[in-house]
Parts: sequence; C-alpha cells; structure tokens
Amino acid sequence: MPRQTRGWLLAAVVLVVLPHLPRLPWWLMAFVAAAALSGLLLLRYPARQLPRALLLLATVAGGGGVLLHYDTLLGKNAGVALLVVMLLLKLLEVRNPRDVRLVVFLCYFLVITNFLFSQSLAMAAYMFAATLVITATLAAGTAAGVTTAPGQYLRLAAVLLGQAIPLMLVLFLFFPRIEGPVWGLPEDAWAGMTGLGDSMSPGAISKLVQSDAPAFRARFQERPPRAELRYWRGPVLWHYDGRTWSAGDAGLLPRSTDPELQGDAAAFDYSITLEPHNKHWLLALDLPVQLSIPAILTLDFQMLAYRPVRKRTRYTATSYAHIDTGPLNVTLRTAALQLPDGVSARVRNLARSWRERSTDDAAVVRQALAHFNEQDFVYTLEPPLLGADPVDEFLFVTRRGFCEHYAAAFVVLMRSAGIPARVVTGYQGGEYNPLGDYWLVRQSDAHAWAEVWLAAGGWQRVDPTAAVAPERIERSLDTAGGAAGAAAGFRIPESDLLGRSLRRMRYLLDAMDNQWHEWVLSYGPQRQLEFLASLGIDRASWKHMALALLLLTGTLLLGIALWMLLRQPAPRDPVQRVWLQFCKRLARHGLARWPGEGPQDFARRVAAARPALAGRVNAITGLYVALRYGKPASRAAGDTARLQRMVQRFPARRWPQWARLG
Amino acid sequence: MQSLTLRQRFSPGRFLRGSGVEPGPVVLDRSRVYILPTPAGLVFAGMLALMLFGSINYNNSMGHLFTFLVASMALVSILHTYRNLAGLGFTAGRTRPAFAGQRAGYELLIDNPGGLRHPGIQLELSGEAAVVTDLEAQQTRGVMLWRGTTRRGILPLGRCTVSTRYPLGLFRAWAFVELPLACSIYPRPGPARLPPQSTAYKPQQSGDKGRGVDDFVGFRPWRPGDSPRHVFWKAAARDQTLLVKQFGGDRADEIWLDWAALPGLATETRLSQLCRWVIDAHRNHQPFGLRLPGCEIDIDSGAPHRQRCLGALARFE
Repeated sequence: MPRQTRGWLLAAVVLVVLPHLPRLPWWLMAFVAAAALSGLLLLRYPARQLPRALLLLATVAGGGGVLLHYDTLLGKNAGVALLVVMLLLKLLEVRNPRDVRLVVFLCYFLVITNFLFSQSLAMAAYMFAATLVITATLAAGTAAGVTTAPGQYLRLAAVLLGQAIPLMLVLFLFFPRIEGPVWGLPEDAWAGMTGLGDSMSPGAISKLVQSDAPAFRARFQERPPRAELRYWRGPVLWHYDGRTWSAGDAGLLPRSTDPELQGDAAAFDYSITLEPHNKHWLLALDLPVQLSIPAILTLDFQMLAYRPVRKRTRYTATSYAHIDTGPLNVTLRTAALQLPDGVSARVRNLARSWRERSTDDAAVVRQALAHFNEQDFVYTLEPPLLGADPVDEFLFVTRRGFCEHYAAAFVVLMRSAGIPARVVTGYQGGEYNPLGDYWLVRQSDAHAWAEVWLAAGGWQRVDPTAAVAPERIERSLDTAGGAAGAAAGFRIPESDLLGRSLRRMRYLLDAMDNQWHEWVLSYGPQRQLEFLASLGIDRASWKHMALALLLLTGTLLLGIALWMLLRQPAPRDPVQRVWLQFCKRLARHGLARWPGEGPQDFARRVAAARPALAGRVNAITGLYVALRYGKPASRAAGDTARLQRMVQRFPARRWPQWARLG
Repeated sequence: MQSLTLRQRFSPGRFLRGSGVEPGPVVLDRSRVYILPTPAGLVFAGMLALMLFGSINYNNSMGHLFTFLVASMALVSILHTYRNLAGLGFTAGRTRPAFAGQRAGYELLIDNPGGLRHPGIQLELSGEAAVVTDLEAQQTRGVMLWRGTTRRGILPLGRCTVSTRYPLGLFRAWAFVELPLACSIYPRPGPARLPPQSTAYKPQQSGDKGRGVDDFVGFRPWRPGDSPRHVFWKAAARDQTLLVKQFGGDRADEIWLDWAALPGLATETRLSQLCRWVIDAHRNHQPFGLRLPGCEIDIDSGAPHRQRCLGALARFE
C-alpha cells in the first residue's frame, strides 16, 4: 500500500468522524484519538504493522463498549458509534486495494449519517469538502502503484464532482420522492431535537435557554408587534403536582372556530417557519385564532399538529394581541384553581394577606407583581437548587430564580388567593434580521409566564418576570456571558463598528441558512409536486418524473461526454503543436500519420508516396526532430518560429486535378 | 480500420471474443470499447441504494442530495473510464523468442495521440499476469507482454485485453486487440552431449583446424562433393585410397549439426538435441551449419546466425 494512499485514507476518515466527535461518549473520543494517532504513526513508519491480536482486542472492546453504553447496536446514535469504531479499526489494518475501497465506502456512508444530526449550510459545505477528499482517496487507491502528486487526485475529484453537480440537481428535482418513513425507525431517530418540553419543573427552561439553536422564524405581513407584545405561545400548563407543571386535560379540548372570537386589538398576520422539535405544538403569536395548516386549536389557545413536528414546517397564522375570552365554565375553573396538598402555610398566608388588602382580583395581581418588584428578588440564569417545596423555598429563602420560578410561584399564589391562573410556556422576543426581513426566535428566547382569569376581560397575560427584570422583555438574554449565580445578563446593542459588522455577518449567515432551508431542505414530495406543476406538469405521476429524469439525465450525460471528448488539451510544447498542425495538413493530402509512427518513418513514407513534397517534408521533419529531440542548447531562439513559418507555407490542400495537369 | 456492419457490431461473439486478428494499427473507439461495473462498482451501487433508502426513511433532504451527488459522480466516471481507452492506437512491435517452457515476449506499441494523460492502462493475455502502464500525452510507448510457452513452434500473440478502471475503480472499460504478432518458440534444449563430428572429418589436436584456404592442415578421406583439386593424387596413386588435402587457418573448429546424425529418435527429441548443439556451438564461438530435411543453413557464426538456426528448428514441421 503506497504511503500516499494511507495519508489520503487517514485524512478522509478524520474529516468524516470529526463532526460526530462531540456526540460520542468520552471513551469513544479517546478511542478515536488513539486510532488517529496510530494512523499517523503508521504513516511515519510505513514498514510497521499493528499486531492482529491488538486489533482484534480493540474491535471487541469497541463493539462491546458501544453495546454497553447505548444498550443497543441499532439506534441512530449507537449505529453511528459502531460505524466510527469499525471505520477506525479498518483504517489501521488496510493492506490491499480492497481494504482501501471498503474504508472509502464507509466514509461516504458516514458522511450521510452526519446529515441526520445537522443539515445546515455550513455542514453541507464541510461535507462537500470531505467528499472531495474521499473521492481523491478512491482515485489514489485505484491508481495504486502509480504515484502522482496528491494535487492531481484532488483535481480529478474536483472535476468529477463538478461534472456531477448538474446531474445531481436533475436527480434532486425529478427523482420521484416518497414520504418517509417507509420502514420502522430506531427509537432515537428523532432524539436530539431541542424545544419546549410538555412539562415544566424548576430548571427546565433555564436549561433550554443555553441553546442558541433557532426555534422558528416569523415574518409579519405588515408591521410587527411591539416588544412587549412579542410573546410566542407554546404549551399551556394547568396541573401542578408540587414540583412539576404539566398540561392536564382541561384545556386540551378543541375550540370551535367561533366567528365571534374577534380580538379588540389589531390583528397580526404572519408566517412562521418552525424548526422540528418532535412535539405537537405549533408556536404562534399570543393569541392565535387561525392557522393555515391542519391542526387542533384548543380551548387554551394552543395549536397542536396531528403528528409531532419532525421536519421544518411552514404556516401562516392570525393573532390578536388581546381577546376577551368570556366566562369560565366549572371544569376549567376547577382546573385553574387546582393546587397540590403540600402548599405551605407561608405561601397561603401571603396570598391571603393580599386578598384581604384588595377589593378585586386585579388588585391582588398588582400586589403580587409589586411584591416581586419591591422585595429583593433576583432574576438569574443559574438559580440555586430547590428542595421538596420549590415554590415556598423560592419565595421565602433563595429569592433567586429564572422565569419558570416566577411564573410557577405567581400561579401558585394566585390560585391560593382564589384567582384562576395557569402557566404558559413559549418564547418571548426574537431578533429582527433586516436582510431576510424576518424575526429569528432562538431556543435561548424560551420563556414562561402566567395567565389569570379576571371577570372583566377573561384570561389575561401576566408576566411576573417583567416585574423583576423588565429588560428581559425588552431585549434578548445573553446566555454567553455571566458567571455562575450572577444575575442574568442581557444583550446590549453593540455600538462599535466591529460589533455592527459582526451582527450584519450573523444576519447574513442566518438569512442564507433560511434560504437553504426554504429551497433545499424542505424539498419533499409536496414541494416536488408544486415544482412540477410550475413547469406545467400537473398531477405528475412517478412515470412522468421517471421519464423527465431519464431524458434530462441522458441529455446531460451526452453533453458532458461531448464536452469531455471534443476538448482535447493542446500539447504544451510549442514545437510539438506546430508538428501536429503539419500532420493535420498532411492528413488532408490523404497522408495521415499512423499511430505510433515516428516522424522520420512518416517523412520517408510521405516522400515515397508524394515525391513532389519530399523536399519540404524532409526539411520540416529535420528541423522538428532537431528541435524536439536534440540538445536544448542547440535550439536557437528563432527556430520554433522558423518551423512555424515552414508549416504555414506548406500547401494546405492537394492541388485540384486540372491545376496539376495544367 | 474498416467499419463494421450493424450485425457485426452487436454480435455477442464480438463481445466475448473480440473481432479476430487485424493488421495494425488498431485504434480503440466506441465500437470496440465495452464498459461494465466492477465488483467494487456493484458494492458501491448497493451502498447508494442503502443511502437512498435511509434518506427516504428519515425524510432527509441533505441525504437525498448527497446520495444523488455521489451517484452522479459514479455516472460521470463512466465517461472518464471510456475516455481513458478511447483513441489509443496499437501496433505490433518486436518479439522476444524463447525456448519452449520459457516466457516469450511480445512488444505492443501503444500510441496516445491526444493531449491527455492516460494512466492505468492494463494489458492482459489470458492466463498471464497483467501489465499496467501509464501513457503520457502524445506518447508512444512499447510494452512487453510475456506469455508462458510449453511447445516448440510459432506462437501467435493471441487476443490481448486492454482495460482500465481509471478513475475510481467503479467501472471497467475493456477492448480486445488481436495483432498479427507471432513469436518463434525454439525447442527445449536437450541434454548436453558432444555433437558428432561431421563424417570423415576429425579435428586435430594442434594447429588451426578451421576450414579455409590459407594453410595446409592435413588429410581426410575423400567424400563425394570434394573438389578434385584438393585430392592428394600421389597418395591415391600409391595406396589406392583417395585422400583430400585440407586447408585451414582463418577459422576455428567448424561443425555441421545434422538432423541425420541423430537417427532413431523422435522428432522433438532430435530438434531438442540440435537446439542444444546450436546453443553450445554459439557459446563456444564455434562456427556451425545446420542441416535439416529440406533446409540447410550454411556454416556461419554470430548471434543472427544462431537465431536463424533456432528459428529453423522452431518452424520445422
């Protein structure tokens, strides 16, 4: 096995394994590092080989480790881990061209597994580069024995991939798409998607906001809502068991689309592109009344898709900033006043004291907010851990918490005071991208707030977090900065040039990513039908597509073939170029040079066949041979030009019959 | 090269066996070059199917895109594989004769008239190890093909398979080239045995003993065909025996290697023995002649003479 091929293999393997590394358990990372290091050492000392026993041991250890760690070999994560182990071990015992091909094919396969975890534009670009290297590896392995400069293989791979791109586009657009899954997927197929949970316990949201991943993008038809109205509604939580909030079943009843249900404020029309999160809810601006895709609109203004959102979903929706939801029926009132048995006396007493000092429910709410605002409550991303009764402990002991603590404590207090209340989770805020004209809402914008039912106006949104940290509502949270336990920081608009250009760069990248999603990643069976309809093929069957596919692929291949075969590069040596011109001229005289015929032999044959031309042919051939095969020192500066002139003066065509006779 | 009729072009025989011996130059073009996937290519196709299936199952757009990219690349590589053979011209070169049991060499001259490099061209005779060569742009290169031999005779090169797996090894393009190139296979040399001296001539221990005209060397009994001018008439008159005066001086020992000197043996054994003598005589710088039924090569020496004699042995019917 030539050393260059080994080098290529190592590079290809490292490139495809690298993006998987952060997802692997630590011992597998160490395994990868050790294997890569061994690969480097084998490259340095090509005569050495790893003992078979060691490789066997490593195979057993790696496979066993994966089985122990994931409890299976079949899932998405376990499968990738196993592939990585196998690939690295095969890399270390590559002995013949067959092994090279096996490693290369495994590399191609590992590329595609990366797309199960990320399909971003950056990942696509990275993987294209990796494919270039893998293909160069295959070319180098195929040409084994003949050593060429590494750049040559890379260039060959670039040519092949470059010519493949038009074909790829045709296949991508016209290959009949099938809606998956057609086969059972492993349990962890959809694992690793971030998003709001269907329950909320202390720490749930503060964990989610660590993620910078986009949750959705929203584009408003007209003006966007003001900052204090940008609440994006997610799961509504009614039931509290003393530690965890969950949906309960009261609010999940479908709501009839009531024409009377009109907001008393302005309507907002917008479209949302929701990232997959493997749960049912479709996020929308508070309070949504209409949706463009089939979904259940529940009594508590949630919008639930019929199936978990497992791919990017686009929909338009209409929302009102405020809707009078009217009276509350008994079932809902009971659910909205539910409290677990263990609510402490201190909490009940606090609520009762507010109730006694107030004339109506609204006054109780105001007092509660004032309490959060005036007492020394701190809004922090890393609150202290809470014990058995988190609400009590938070309200009277630690007083440091994140939005979920405030929302939960506020709702418990309201219910204790006899006011129907519920927790709403979702997102708040978002960042406007002027390049793409959309609002990007990230997981770090996750938020929890409360709703209370008041006789006047029905359900009202109350955000206790705003009472503690009003800037939370104005700006996005800065999850990057801030030491442990410190008060949460907020993104301050950068004023300096560097900050501004960095931000513009970020906008550009996100806008590109959005377009990428729009045009590439969301292309499925539905979009394919739309695309074909736009070409005038209505209700296209797979037969239409197969026909279009065959025709286009064939045409393209033919085009590439013609381009490749007709475009023969001219020789670099000018002397030889002139000689070939000369041969072409002679060919027109009916005297084509035979393959493999040397110039002298050719000249002799021409002279014999056409004695009239002998003199000139011999002169040209003599000069050519002297220039091409003679010592470089004997070449005079003007010789090439002289040869050129001689060839140009050589009669291009045989004289016509009458001219020769005449 | 004459063009083929449709029936010839698509006959399965041509696909399996090639189109027979043709005078050179043979230029590879569409009608000669076949392409099929290699076993590795089939494995690759299986992997692509798996990748496509996975992409469908996971509704993964990038998976589709990547699968199509790699599949397209494989399709495009067919064209590169074909182009790597297309345009190459083959002419017959020299041969390297061998003794039966040794390997005979045949030279093929491959001409690459184009401006592209053609790497990884493989030439293969059935049953022999393949030879791989690279052709630079505008290069003509001679490639020696070796073929094992078993029997004496004239061995044609036979069908040579020219193939390539460039660039990715997923497809193999091949063409059959059968050039009128034949090599002499000399008889397998027999055991070392002293050649019988031609009848009536015994070399002397001393002095120059070659056949010549300069010096008088001695007498030998007359045999038919001797010039009467050399007959030692005095002795003939005295002893009633005809002696011939022998002259020498400008040559060393010279011998006739004669088919007739090996009576009672099988034809091949006789030829083997003659072959051995030819080799030995040449090695000892001894001029020799060869007499076979219907063929006589006069006494001479040197490599071309040896080759001529061995060739006569190879061709002997």
